[in-house]
Amino acid sequence: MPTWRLVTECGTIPVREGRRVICGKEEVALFNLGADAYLAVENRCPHRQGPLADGIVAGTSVYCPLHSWRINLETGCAISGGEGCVKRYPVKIADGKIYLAFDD
Amino acid sequence: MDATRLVVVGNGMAGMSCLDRILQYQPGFAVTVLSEEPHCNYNRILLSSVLAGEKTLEEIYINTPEWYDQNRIDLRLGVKAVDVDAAGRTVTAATGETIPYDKLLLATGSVPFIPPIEGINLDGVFVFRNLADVQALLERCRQRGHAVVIGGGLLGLEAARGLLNQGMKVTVVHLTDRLMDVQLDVAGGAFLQRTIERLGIDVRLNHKTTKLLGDRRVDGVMFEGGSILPCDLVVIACGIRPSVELARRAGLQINRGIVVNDHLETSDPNIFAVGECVEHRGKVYGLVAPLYDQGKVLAATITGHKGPGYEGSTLAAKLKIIGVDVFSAGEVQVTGPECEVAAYQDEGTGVYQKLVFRRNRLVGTILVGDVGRANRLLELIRRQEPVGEQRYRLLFDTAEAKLGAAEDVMSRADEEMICGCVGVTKGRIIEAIRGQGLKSLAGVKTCTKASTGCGTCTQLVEGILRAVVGDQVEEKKNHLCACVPFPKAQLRTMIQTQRLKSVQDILDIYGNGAGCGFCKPALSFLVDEVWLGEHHEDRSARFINDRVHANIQNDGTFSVVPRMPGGVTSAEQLRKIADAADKYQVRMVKVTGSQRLDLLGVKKEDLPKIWADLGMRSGHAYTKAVRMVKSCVGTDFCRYGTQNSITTGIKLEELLEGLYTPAKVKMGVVGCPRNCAEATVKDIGLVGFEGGWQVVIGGAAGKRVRAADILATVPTTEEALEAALLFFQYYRERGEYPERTYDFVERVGLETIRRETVLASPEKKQALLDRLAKAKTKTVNPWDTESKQPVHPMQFTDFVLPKDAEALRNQPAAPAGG
Ligand SMILES: Cc1cc2nc3c(=O)[nH]c(=O)nc-3n(C[C@H](O)[C@H](O)[C@H](O)COP(=O)(O)OP(=O)(O)OC[C@H]3O[C@@H](n4cnc5c(N)ncnc54)[C@H](O)[C@@H]3O)c2cc1C
Ligand code: HEM
Ligand code: SF4
Ligand code: FES
Repeated sequence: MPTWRLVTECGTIPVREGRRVICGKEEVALFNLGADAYLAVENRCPHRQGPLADGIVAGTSVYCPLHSWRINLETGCAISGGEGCVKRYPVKIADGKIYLAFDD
Repeated sequence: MDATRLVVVGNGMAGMSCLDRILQYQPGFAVTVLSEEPHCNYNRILLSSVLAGEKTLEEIYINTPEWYDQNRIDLRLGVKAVDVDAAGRTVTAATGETIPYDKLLLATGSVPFIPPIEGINLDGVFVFRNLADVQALLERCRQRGHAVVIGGGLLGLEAARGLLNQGMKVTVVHLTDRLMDVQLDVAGGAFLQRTIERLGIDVRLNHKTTKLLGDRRVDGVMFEGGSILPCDLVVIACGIRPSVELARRAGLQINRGIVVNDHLETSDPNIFAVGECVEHRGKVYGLVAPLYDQGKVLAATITGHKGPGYEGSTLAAKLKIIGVDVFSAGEVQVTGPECEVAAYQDEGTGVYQKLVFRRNRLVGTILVGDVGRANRLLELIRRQEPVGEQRYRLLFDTAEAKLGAAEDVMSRADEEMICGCVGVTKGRIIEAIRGQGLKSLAGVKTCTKASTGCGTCTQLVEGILRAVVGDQVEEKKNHLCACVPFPKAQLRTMIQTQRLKSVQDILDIYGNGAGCGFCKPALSFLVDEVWLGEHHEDRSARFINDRVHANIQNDGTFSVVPRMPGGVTSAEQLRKIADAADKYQVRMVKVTGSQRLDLLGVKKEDLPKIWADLGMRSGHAYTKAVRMVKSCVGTDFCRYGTQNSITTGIKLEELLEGLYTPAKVKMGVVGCPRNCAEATVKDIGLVGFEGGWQVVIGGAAGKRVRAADILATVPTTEEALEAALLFFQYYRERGEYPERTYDFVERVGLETIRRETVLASPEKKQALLDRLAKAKTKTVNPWDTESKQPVHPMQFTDFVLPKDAEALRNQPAAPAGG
């Protein structure tokens, strides 16, 4: 069963930006897409491990800062650049707080 | 037997498309075309796009002089027909010449309707009908000022938009209570008005213009009631009237237009008419689709292939203003008890969709804010079949977004109309692409004529092309990016005239709302440059380097390059750099190719701290901005030195430090032509010699190696610096992101650059320098401001979640959503 972990309050991540969330060995890229919509994926580009949290957000996808692969945040898979997918992390918003689900 | 003599009066869209077909059926005619306008046939519809700066005049010609030659058409440009002798079968031209005919085709189109207002002949009053009108308008727009458009119909709104793009302040005054009253209902008009006003166009309804004021030149508009609106320019767009003068002289039957039957025959057996000048079953048309339909029938009639007649057309109109989606077709006002209406209206998103049914058949529609369904609904209106019980699905069946429309096109039926103007179906386009091996939009246009009308189907045609030939599509790229489909130069004007200050506003209003990794940084540069630093900074549109003012490395760490103006440093700076290198355990300290030092492998969270410890200014080594000025040792030390290259280099770097540019700008200053700091392969270089400086531009020693061109040779250091600054600002304003100076110089040409910078008038030079100075006052050293206070508190930090035990406590009792 996954564990929901509190990350932060809504509003600490600016709209259309991402931040890195570190939990033990796992590194997650958490994005604020605006209008209280958040999505999270593993912070490692399928190409050469680029930090996706530092990418440019466009709609519901992010452009990796290293070589501009475009990753669909809803599926976790690359839309352009090359082929590959990253793990997705479920996000929940409750009482103005953001939670991420991690497998135990 | 001699060839049949066919004389065509009017070289417009209807006449020439009909003639094209006539020649396809039967090439044997001896054709003479009389054209009052002194140009080859052009696409009148696209005059709106020319006025809006989206197209050039050259791009809208339909037929070339060669086309007329090849078809042996005797084209008389600038020759007006003034009389017809129907009994003697001759046409008299304004030149006095009489031209005999066997068959006469009248395609005289319309003229603008000029309401009875006083002052119509004042200077500065324009109509919007032909190429000459647009040329005159564009010319006048250079003086800027306030334009009033009289008439808020299709034409008036497109004119207003064009004028706005040309930098005018624009007011539309309209007689009735809603815009586009012919095509819209009250709600549709209100939705449209909001979008139009959002563009920055002032709209005044229920205003009856009574008088244009001014002595020689118009300076105001007076309305019923006596109120006055001052202005510098007036465009009259109050509708059109068929040109029937010639037909009247020929003794033809005339009502509102030249009366024709279903075969486009007039009351004289040898005279035919087509286009906006005709009246068919009591209707006069003012859009090309019906005129092309008429042309098809007439071509058959004239060549003796009389087939099924013309039965009239369903009226459909689309507003051609990018970002303002309006479509209207068929009957849009509810008439009689048999009419039923289904409507969806969403104030928040500006979407209004209305369907009008009669006896369960779709008879009309109004779409505002989203016209993705336009072609399908039009097809239903034409077919007149019952639409079934679940007719509400017509509004909701597909979730296609504005963008999706193009991709979605393949799911449509082959018979579906893609280009409503010319009448080309999807099947016909696919057939042409496959049959002729077409790979470009231009190819499809030439072959099928699709997308040669109003151009709104271009996306669909491109979608089909992409679906059929995949990656082989040959594209013509002059747009910044598919997300904001505008030529780059025009985007700049739009940002300016529409006072757009943030990237997201541009994307929302003119783009697809999302943008991409390329256009977001490009637009960030544009808003910054246009507003000289007074834009609304949107960090999310910036590349990570510009958010954290350091260069991202292949492992996600960053590199830090402090500024060393002129490549000069000091023992104190070196000590600080060494200490910082130790303290933050940087992986390497490297001497760069740009006469400065690079600390490589710094963690993001350490950036503000290392900046504070260094106490040096950002070298902007991570972005498209002023990088550095390399210098040689010059007269300070060198025995060959003729100029003080160090002081001059430092000065140049400090004058420009902190400014952003279309692409990086590297500079060099050397004290003599031995050129030790390689100034002649820099974007801007100053090369000293005995008694002066050579200022060189557009050099490169990167991906490309290019020797710089000489911009100017000047005696003093002040003049050399001024020349460098003039070019720098000119490039900032005219360079197309991400174009380096070496491409810029080749694209624009050295002569133009000289004329616009060092050889420009003193006022022009001063204006460039003033804008540069203004932008410079807005620059900051981001390492200083953000080490004290980041733009965003969490800019440099990560979220590190606590160990397991605490995590459990953090679990929400009952998380909402999913
Ligand atoms: C700015 C603008 C935007 C438009 N946008 C759209 C649109 O989006 N969609 C749409 O469907 N339609 C649009 N239209 C309307 C469309 O352009 C016209 O319906 C179409 O051009 C009419 O074609 P025509 O051949 O009948 O007349 P025209 O194209 O006007 O051609 C008639 C020609 O005959 C010439 N002529 C007239 N009398 C004489 C004479 N005695 N001797 C010699 N020559 C003569 C005229 O100078 C003119 O060149 C637009 C029109 C304008 C002005
Ligand atoms: C004879 C007089 C010259 C003197 C005193 C001189 C001096 C210097 C000095 C002090 C440097 C800096 C060295 C360093 O950064 O390590 C330098 C670099 C250089 N010089 Fe000269 N130089 C002379 C002639 C030339 C000539 C004739 C050329 C070329 C034709 C030349 C090309 C260069 C180049 C390419 C560099 C490297 C620049 C760089 O690393 O950025 N030099 N020179
Ligand atoms: S460019 Fe000339 S002045 Fe400068 S160091 Fe080289 S030789 Fe000396
Ligand atoms: S690592 Fe993401 S694109 Fe190369």
